[in-house]
Amino acid sequence: MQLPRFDLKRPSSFHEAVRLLVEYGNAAKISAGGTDLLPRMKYRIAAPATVISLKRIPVSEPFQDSEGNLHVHALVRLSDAASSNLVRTNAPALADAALAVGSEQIRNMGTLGGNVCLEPRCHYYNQSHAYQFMDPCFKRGGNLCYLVPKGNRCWALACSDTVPALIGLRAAAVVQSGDREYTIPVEELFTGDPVRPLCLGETDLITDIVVPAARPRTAVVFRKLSPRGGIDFATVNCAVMLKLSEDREACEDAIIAIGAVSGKPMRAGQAEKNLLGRKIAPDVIHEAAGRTASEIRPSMRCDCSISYLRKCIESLTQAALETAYQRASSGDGVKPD
Amino acid sequence: MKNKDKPPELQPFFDKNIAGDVVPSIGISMPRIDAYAKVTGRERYAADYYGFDMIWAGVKRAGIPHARLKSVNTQAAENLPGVIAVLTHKNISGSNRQGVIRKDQPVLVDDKVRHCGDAVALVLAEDKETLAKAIKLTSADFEPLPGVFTTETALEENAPLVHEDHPGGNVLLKASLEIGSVQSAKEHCDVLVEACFETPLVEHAYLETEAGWAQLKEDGKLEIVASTQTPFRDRMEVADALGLEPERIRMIAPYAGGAFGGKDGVTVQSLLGLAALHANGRPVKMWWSREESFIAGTKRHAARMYYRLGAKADGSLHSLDTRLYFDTGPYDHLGGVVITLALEHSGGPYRIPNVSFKGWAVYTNNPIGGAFRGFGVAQVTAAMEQMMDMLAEKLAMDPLKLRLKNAVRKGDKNCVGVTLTHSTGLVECLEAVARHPLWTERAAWKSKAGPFKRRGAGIVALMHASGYGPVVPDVANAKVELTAEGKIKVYCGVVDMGQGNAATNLQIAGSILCQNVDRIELILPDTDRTLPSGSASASRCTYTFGNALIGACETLKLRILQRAADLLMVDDCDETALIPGAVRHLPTGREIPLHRLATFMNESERTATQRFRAPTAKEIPPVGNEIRLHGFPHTLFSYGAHLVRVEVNELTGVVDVKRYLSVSDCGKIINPHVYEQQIQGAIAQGIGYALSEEVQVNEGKVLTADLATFIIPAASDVPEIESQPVEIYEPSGPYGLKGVGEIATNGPLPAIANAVADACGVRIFRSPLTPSRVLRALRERLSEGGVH
Ligand SMILES: Cc1cc2nc3c(=O)[nH]c(=O)nc-3n(C[C@H](O)[C@H](O)[C@H](O)COP(=O)(O)OP(=O)(O)OC[C@H]3O[C@@H](n4cnc5c(N)ncnc54)[C@H](O)[C@@H]3O)c2cc1C
Ligand code: SF4
Repeated sequence: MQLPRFDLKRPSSFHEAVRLLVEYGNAAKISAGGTDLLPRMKYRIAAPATVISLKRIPVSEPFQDSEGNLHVHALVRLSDAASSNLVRTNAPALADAALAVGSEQIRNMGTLGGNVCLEPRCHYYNQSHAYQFMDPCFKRGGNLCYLVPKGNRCWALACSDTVPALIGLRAAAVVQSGDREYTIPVEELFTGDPVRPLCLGETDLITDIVVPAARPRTAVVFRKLSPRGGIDFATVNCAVMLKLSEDREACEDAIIAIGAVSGKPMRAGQAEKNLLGRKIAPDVIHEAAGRTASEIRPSMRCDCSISYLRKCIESLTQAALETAYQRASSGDGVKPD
Repeated sequence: MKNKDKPPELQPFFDKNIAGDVVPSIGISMPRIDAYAKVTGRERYAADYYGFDMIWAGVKRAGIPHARLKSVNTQAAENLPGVIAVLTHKNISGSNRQGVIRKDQPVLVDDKVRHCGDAVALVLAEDKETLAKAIKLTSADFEPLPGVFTTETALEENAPLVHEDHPGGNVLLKASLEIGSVQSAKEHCDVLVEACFETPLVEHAYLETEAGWAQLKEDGKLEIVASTQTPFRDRMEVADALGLEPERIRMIAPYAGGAFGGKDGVTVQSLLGLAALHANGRPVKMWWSREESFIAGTKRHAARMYYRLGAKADGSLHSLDTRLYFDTGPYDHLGGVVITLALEHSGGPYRIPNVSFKGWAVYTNNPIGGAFRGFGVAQVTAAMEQMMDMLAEKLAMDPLKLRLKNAVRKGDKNCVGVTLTHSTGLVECLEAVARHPLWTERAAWKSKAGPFKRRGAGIVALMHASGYGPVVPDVANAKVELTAEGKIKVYCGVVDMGQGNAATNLQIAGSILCQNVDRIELILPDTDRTLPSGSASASRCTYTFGNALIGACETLKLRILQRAADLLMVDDCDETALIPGAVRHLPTGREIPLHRLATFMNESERTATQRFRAPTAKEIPPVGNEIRLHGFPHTLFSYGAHLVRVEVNELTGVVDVKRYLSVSDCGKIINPHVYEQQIQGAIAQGIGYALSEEVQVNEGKVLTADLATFIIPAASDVPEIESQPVEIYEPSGPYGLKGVGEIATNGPLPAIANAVADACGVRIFRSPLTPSRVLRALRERLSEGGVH
């Protein structure tokens, strides 16, 4: 399958990129690594007249500021994020999530920013429409949904692997908006509507991801379940953060983020709240995993049943919580006080 | 955008073999002659043909599963600059029908659309981009019709008909066979097991999607290069569909980039032929995208199979009753032949005195069911081999002993009433598995599963027929030539789609004529140059063509030696021997180079041909002529036994295949390396069939139209595979060989299903065994209060 014709712009700074976005408006699309955009263009579900490639923008290495916050450039390749020592020691969950994306080739091209902004996916949408499903569904600007024919909205899934990890890490995105720059928690980037998944303005770009300094007795763990040994999008992914009290027994803070099961990454708020102050023990972890599975509502999809997804959410959350507890209580991967 | 490449050479491309100075012999692992050019990217597949002034052809597909075609609107596309022609059925002067047995598939739809992939119009354009635009601009007016999407609904009384003119309604073919009586099974059997199995629709997913290239030559000849398994049959089909004399068509079949049955029959050929007829002599290329291949190409039939198996308390099988429903989609393609082979194998390699087998190939508006490595046998083996394990469990008998007890041996009648007169090595295969540590030490291994894991081992017994059966002549014609330059040309009649039979031909010719690899050239199938030798299918390629080739080579050898004896003025050609590049008179050491010798020989003397027809079963089991025409019964079978060890994750339902053992009786081996490749590849493909591959179809539309959603195994999903041959000499085969191409594909699904049942205590009757299905079965088992 061939790419459609397009005009290529190659700005050398985010500033210039934003300026081009303003100039070309809706007819332009940003390509960072292009591993999400180009396949969509081949399927003609994206057909920008102009592609603004960010490849010429200099990429800075991840660095730590004086307060210990970790800054990762949005254009860092996933393979570099995964192998960076700074990321590995300060945000191992991010490194693990980056390493869980696609395959070697995809990680060598795909960027962190692109992964955060990954378009939601659906079997009916992510395919060629030259042969079947020709009438556009909601996500292609039409007025119907093939997956839920009686529904009046889109159910495509937000599948990014790094996003749940970033939520677990309480990371924020630095956004370039015109001449202005602002910071927004990664969790708040998502609308939940798969047709317009990001809260960003049309001409906004993510320039950096900032992961706050690691806290003591805290661990963030990422887990992913997918059909094959490699290459596939997650069936379910999950990141949990666990902070223990000073005696390293009770839970002081918790995040449970579940991805790939709905239009945006989900938090298991009830399960998190229920953990607070409790002494961590196998039955408590088991309970939290169970609560997570019953409170997260997976969207309907083509490749597996909702009850299966629930079960997977439970197992993944349980496994992630167990590891997080081990790491937080042993001080593994956590910087000293 | 014109193509600036040079005009294509139609000579198949060969590179120097890495082991060019080797004189081949039988039974050794030689590097394949095609390997070097393939791994360096220099081999020219059908998809690699371009050429000066070439144009692109593409198809407007229906996109809806069932509709009456009212009109095709070509005007908008024709007005687009760069569009050469937009053709519809009106441009076809032939029958506009294709098919191997029943010709029911239009080249371009004329009356009705019967599945989403049907071709409605053929567009010719200067470049791919214009082509895509023009296809989009072409539209059709349809009157949608209610469709049938399951075999159950297709068989209902007032079901919409896929072919109104078919006397059988939606039943393309019903095959049945009755031996003894199954009526009184309840009284005569001590145990009965009953089950229904469902297997999915599966895509071949070859690397090279359907592709070809065609040109109308100045002399009026239509030349078509295609990725195909059947060049000679294609020529007849294209001729009939387009209304041409067959001799006007030249079909050329380079190495195919994978086929597995998906190119057993016409894909792009007729469309390309039609395009070339309207291209003013310019070459035309067509190459389906992956998605198009998923939607328009053929698939392995989805099947629903009802089984009832009865046995005596000692484990001897007494009766088997089966009903098989195969979804053949909208066209016969090879559906009738597939259901017939399935029927023949539905009782497995066992002696069963009373059987009643019934099979239906059913028309629906789903994608086309067709040939796929295993050819119906993969489905029924999945059912029968699980039945054997269920029976063993009920009898509290070791599943391997149960199989051994009932296994066919030479001289037995198999369960469809054919006496096995050829080599029959099933018992040897099963015994090899029984001795293997993966089997004998399985209990200890299982007990070390670890938390949240369950381990199990499964075995299966296999058989697979080779050849076409009794009616359609299973013939190959080989030709070899001593060229004027003193080299050897082997004219291969059977396509090499990647399985390596071309290299094996070279090995055979080189060993008989004692010529090193560099002195031998292979001519790949080409209806103008090579002789008709049937399809590359049915595990027949090397068996049938190899036999013919040995004959041709022996004839040529004798001629060369006799001529050399005359020239050397010696009495007896017994005193002469072929050596690389020459003939030597052994008593005196005098030599005559082949290129000299060739100058003394007339062209007709320098070529030798030989025909071989495969043996057929002489018994006439109680089936109708129709079923015999579809290939029933066979006489020659390969056998095998597989063993697999799996680990099931209780939390996620993921089945991890840990180890695999395949023992096979496919006769003697010409090239152990190529043999091993067939086994390994088939098992990897079978693992996909067992665990993840399923073309999901919703009301005739394909949901999994690419390799991101149709999940084939990746390298990390395939375990270490051990392949052990049981080399029993088959007297009718070339050097004692039988077919190895398909048999191993049939093993993994039932073996893994048996292993999962062994691990979890639950059986999953619907494949593939996806994590979701495994987990559901585990939970149901737990909620029933079963083992934890
Ligand atoms: C075979 C295959 C397997 C894959 N497997 C996975 C997987 O397992 N997990 C997974 O998460 N993803 C997967 N992907 C999707 C994709 O490759 C990754 O998400 C990748 O990280 C995307 O990054 P990119 O830089 O290539 O994105 P691009 O394609 O360049 O961009 C993606 C989107 O983000 C926008 N964008 C990019 N950068 C910015 C920015 N700085 N600011 C604002 N918007 C921006 C683009 O406009 C575009 O809409 C897979 C893709 C393929 C082809
Ligand atoms: S969920 Fe419905 S609307 Fe959304 S992409 Fe899929 S088919 Fe289209």
